[in-house]
Amino acid sequence: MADKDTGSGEGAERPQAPANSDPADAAAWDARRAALEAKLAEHRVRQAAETERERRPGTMQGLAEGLKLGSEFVAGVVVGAAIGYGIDRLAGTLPFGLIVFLMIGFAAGVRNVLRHVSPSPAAKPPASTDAPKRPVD
Amino acid sequence: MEHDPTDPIHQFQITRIVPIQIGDWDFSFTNSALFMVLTVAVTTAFLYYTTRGRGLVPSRGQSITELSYEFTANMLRDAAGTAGMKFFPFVFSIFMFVLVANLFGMVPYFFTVTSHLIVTFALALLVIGVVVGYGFYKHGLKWLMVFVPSGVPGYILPLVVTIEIVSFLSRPVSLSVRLFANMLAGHITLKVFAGFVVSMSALGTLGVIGSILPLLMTIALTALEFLVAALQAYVFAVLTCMYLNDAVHPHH
Repeated sequence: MADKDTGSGEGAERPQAPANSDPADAAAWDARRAALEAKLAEHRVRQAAETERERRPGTMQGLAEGLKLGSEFVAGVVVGAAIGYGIDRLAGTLPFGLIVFLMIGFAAGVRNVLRHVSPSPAAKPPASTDAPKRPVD
Repeated sequence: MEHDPTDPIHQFQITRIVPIQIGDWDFSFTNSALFMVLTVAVTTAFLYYTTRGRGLVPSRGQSITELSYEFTANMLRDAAGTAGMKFFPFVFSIFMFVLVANLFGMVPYFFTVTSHLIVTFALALLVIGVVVGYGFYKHGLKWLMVFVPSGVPGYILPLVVTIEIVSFLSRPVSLSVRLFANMLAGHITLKVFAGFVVSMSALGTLGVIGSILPLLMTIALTALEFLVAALQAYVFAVLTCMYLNDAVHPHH
């Protein structure tokens, strides 16, 4: 009977020890459970730190990141300017389209960089489960 | 044609191996085309022959193949989820092509395919074309919602959508220019420092002793270039996965 109880108690959340045991025994069980819980939590924290460290193996990842972000920003500005210039050529409004789209391109460049450095908070389920693993992308 | 051996640009010259002219179009088989064919042939042959044994305990070659498979698969799953795995052959092909082409460029006298903007831009357009094509195919016109971030008030929506579209259009540019510029700049730097060794050692004993410095620099740069070659292939593949994610899951 007691065996069965502890057996099922592991799966479901059961704060008490086997029903037919005395209060002192139950307290001992609780103490043991609390101690185990604390140890597990400590282990989890260390595990998380470990995976966190493994995820960024130093220079290679950092170098890739830097190059990526820099070119993302520049590309936004360049494409914005190109679109503005193209509109100007078609409409004959030379400086204005270029000016406006240069600014929009700047914003797009910033948007590009932001997209890469911050995991989007409103990410859809598959991405949000993946986001903690690789937020830098 | 005789050329200066220290000319850093000469290595990027396109030469026609088999001139082919169809109408007004030049379809010549160039050195660039030759190395693209070589890249594909070597990659395919390597992947095929290393996995031919299908050992339960992988041989060295099979380990490399399995590693690159798992590396790419994890990359794609992280970025685009399980639904994105149907693009695995595409991403793997691109990754292996860029990686092998970059590494081929490190072999002396070999031509670096990815140091030409038109090649990398064609690859980037292929990626964006797949993203747009699959997006419309899968989601129809609703895919355009990828340009409309949720939770934006209506009065600034036109501006935000314009910014998003420009940001989207800048992707193939940044994707291709980054790869091309890295390979071009790396190979020019390498050649310039190697050229210093040649021209300094022509100046006599003192020059030979002095040329040790650029020689050390060349060695260090060679190591760096190997790193860059692998890194840029990785970045190209990661960004491909990220863009494919927009095609698979357009709502963000």
